[in-house]
Amino acid sequence: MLLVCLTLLRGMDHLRASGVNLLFFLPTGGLSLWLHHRHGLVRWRLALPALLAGGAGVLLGSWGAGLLPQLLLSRLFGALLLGLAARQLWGLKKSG
Amino acid sequence: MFVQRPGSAARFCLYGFAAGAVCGLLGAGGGLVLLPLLRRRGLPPAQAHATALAVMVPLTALSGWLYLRGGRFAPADLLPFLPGGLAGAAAGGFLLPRLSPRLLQGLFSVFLLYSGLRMTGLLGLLAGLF
Repeated sequence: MLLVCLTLLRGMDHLRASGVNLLFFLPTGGLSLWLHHRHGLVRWRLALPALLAGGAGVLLGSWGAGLLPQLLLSRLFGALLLGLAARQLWGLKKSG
Repeated sequence: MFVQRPGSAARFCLYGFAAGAVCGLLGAGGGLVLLPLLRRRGLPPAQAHATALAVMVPLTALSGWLYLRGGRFAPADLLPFLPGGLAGAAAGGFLLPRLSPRLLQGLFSVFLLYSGLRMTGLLGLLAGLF
């Protein structure tokens, strides 16, 4: 939501908004993760291979972000949001 | 019920790679890609959320560091949003148990739909048609 507000309401360019969003997530995400770990909810055997491969994904994605026009990045993010909206609405329809 | 099958490690590597790529490319959305994949593999919701977080917190830190190193933003850019963010988190924590899950899902869907239409430029196109 922060990234959307920064780009749509504050007119911030996508890369700058992405950076702010990434850092903003860390304190709350880190605290939640610690609590989940304490409650034994994290499946670390599944998370670790995903995490290692994810590092390679981040490197590739970050490199791509530097190459693509910011408008395209915004549009791609918008497309991701539309996909999520469709999934949420479908879930509402099924449970209704 | 989740049962670890042969090839699961490779599959989770692929999921992690996809989530990391989205996180690095778009600055958000990696967890939103990873979570449904974990759920589809049979993880109960709480474990899926927790496991997705375990993947995304370090990946977000890595992505943020790369963005900082690349000069795409400065840490000071974050400061104006911190007080509001903390207040919002407190308000959200207060409101969440008091709102119906269906209402929340509906509101979130509308927000995603509107934001998606605006960011893709489709909202302008649709407005032009009517």
